[in-house]
Amino acid sequence: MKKRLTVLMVLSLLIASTVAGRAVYIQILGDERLEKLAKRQFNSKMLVQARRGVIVDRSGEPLAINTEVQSLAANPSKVQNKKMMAKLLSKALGIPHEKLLARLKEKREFIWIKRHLPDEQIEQFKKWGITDVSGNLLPGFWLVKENFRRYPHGELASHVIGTVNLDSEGTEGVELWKNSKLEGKVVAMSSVKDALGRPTLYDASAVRDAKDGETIQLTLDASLQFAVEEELKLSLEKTKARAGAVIVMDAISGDILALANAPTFNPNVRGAPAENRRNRVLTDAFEPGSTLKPILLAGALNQGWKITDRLHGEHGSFKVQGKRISEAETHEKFEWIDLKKMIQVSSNVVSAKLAMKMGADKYMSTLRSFGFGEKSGTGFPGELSGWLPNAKKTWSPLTLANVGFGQGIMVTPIQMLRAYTAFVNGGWLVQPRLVKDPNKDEDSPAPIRAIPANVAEQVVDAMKTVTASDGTGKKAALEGYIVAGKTGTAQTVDAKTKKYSRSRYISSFIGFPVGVEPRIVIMTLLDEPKGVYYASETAAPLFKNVLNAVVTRFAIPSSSPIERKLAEAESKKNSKKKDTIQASMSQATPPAPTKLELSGTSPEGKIVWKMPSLEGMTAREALQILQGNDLRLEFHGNGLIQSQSPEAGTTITEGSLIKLRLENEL
Amino acid sequence: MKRWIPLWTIPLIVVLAIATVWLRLSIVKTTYAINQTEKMITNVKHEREKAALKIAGLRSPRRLEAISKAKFRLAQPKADQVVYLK
Repeated sequence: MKKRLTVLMVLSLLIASTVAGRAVYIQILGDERLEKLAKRQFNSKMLVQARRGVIVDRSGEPLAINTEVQSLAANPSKVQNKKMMAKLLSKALGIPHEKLLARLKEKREFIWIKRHLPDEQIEQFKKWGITDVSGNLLPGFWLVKENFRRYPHGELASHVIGTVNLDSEGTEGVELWKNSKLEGKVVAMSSVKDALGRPTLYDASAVRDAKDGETIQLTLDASLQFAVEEELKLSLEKTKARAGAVIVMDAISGDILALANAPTFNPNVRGAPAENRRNRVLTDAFEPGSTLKPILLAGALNQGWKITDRLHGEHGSFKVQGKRISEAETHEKFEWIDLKKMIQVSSNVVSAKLAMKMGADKYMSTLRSFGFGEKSGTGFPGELSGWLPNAKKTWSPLTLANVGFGQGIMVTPIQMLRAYTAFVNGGWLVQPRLVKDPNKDEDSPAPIRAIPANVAEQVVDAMKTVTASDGTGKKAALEGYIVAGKTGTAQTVDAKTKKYSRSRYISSFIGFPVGVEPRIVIMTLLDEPKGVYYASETAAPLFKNVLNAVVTRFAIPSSSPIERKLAEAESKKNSKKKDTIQASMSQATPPAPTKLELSGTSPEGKIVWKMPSLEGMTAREALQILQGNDLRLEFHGNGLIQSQSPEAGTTITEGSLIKLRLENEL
Repeated sequence: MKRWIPLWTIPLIVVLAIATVWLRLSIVKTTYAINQTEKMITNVKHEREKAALKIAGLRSPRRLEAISKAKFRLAQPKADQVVYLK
């Protein structure tokens, strides 16, 4: 018996010491495999998600912010009765049943069922039995909280702000351009979790490294942007143009205050066509047409030409290398005109001749000094640098002549606007800015002198005549302000025929109010306006409305003294008494829209005018007299007006048809 | 017989053991509290974002223009209706 007990005791001791030895081995010496198992059970990696930075306008108004939404995820291997679940989910989420079933049959541990669910759809889960009695989702499904980008103003500045994808990564615009700053820093940190999976210990130093995305402040002014977008929309409806764009820029700081494109899109709604999402201001190039003429003039003045120097207008057309270069209007048959007049009447012939006299090298160097042929430096994704004819080869006289009046060269709207800032700020080429970067301010490149200040002044003087009563851009003039600018109606190349189209034009106007602060430059552009396509009738009125929005927004005082304004009001009042509208002509206060003499009103309440004598005038002069009134005009032929119907002195009313026969009837 | 450890070390060991356990429990408890507070902060952040979204929507120029036109019958002033005094 004693012997048996001894054996049992020894055996027990052996077993106990084996267990103790194993315990010592596991606890003290360690086992790599078990260590890994324990780590897997108690340690977990946690992702500290960064909040995407917000995008605000120059006053801090939020333009892109985040909200939290829930997405439905599943582990197909744990989903029971997949057919039934696919049916229920299909009803709750509106996704085709077959598609859901195929997804649930996938041999994966994680799938998304639907991302970014609206609250209403989550409420539907209970109705369709996707949750159990306690409100929890059925096994295999769970909701994941995610950040969701929202654009509270919808379409406002959507071309600048851009969009993000489902994972909140920037795909377009500032969202893409500044993605690295906006997305912040996601940190993976290890933590020890308890039996319920709750973290009990953090790596505090790792949490410190997690960083939310930075706030990006744009130079845009949300209120002005809205007003500009509204004006552009109205103009597009009126002119039935295919597309349009407006830019408003501070000529000193380079801040872009408004940048509107049409057609537009709402970034909150996915799947907008690419055509609507294009930021034409930065990513489209076009032939500028006559808006390039002030640049040519600046180049010529810089090379020693005088504003009073005259060139012959060749009676409306001349040939270069067998190709005819003509004025935009056949009745424009200029003789000797000076360079100021060249801008006022927008002469193609004189511009072409001036460019040819300047020579390709000098003209090219002028274009380069105004920043053409290179990106404007905004840094915006997809910005184009435009195109200048091959600099290595000598330009042919025809190329030079064409570039003289703005054809045969490709520029972006932002390049054109940037070039015009030099006229406003005394000759400096500033870099346009879309984002206010406090760290970058010190490193931002200094403005480059493009032309001397006196040259800029002379060009501005010439451009003031454009908005005068007999200028091509008189409809851009805003009462109370001295406006300088230039119209441009450029032909576009037909993609099919590879030739200049006779029906497709890009109309633009670039201008600025003179003698006011802040110094603002505005560009309006309409692509393929239907009917009357001239910039004077399309882009110029849009410019006027945009300028009105700008002066209202920034409370820019009128550049004409208040006494004069009051005197004008008094004179208008007096003239009404006599039933005659007198046109007031001054640079500061553009004329009233009509020069017709009022004769009273008809019994139907229509305005009645006296028909003026138009014989011997050019078509443009006649238009200047008749414009601004509801009259139907018919021109036959070209040259000077030979006869008119109705005759001078007779009465005409609103809606009357006026037929004018010109010298050379076609 | 001489003791191989002094008697006073026994309560010291006991105190140290209790302190270690207490410290460990405190860490876990504090971590839970931090966790809870962080959840609260996140919730407050979300509420703030929701409020910001709502405010931005209410201040939207499009909405304000629609209200000013429909409710107060206001309109944008024309160029000749605005006179600024220097």
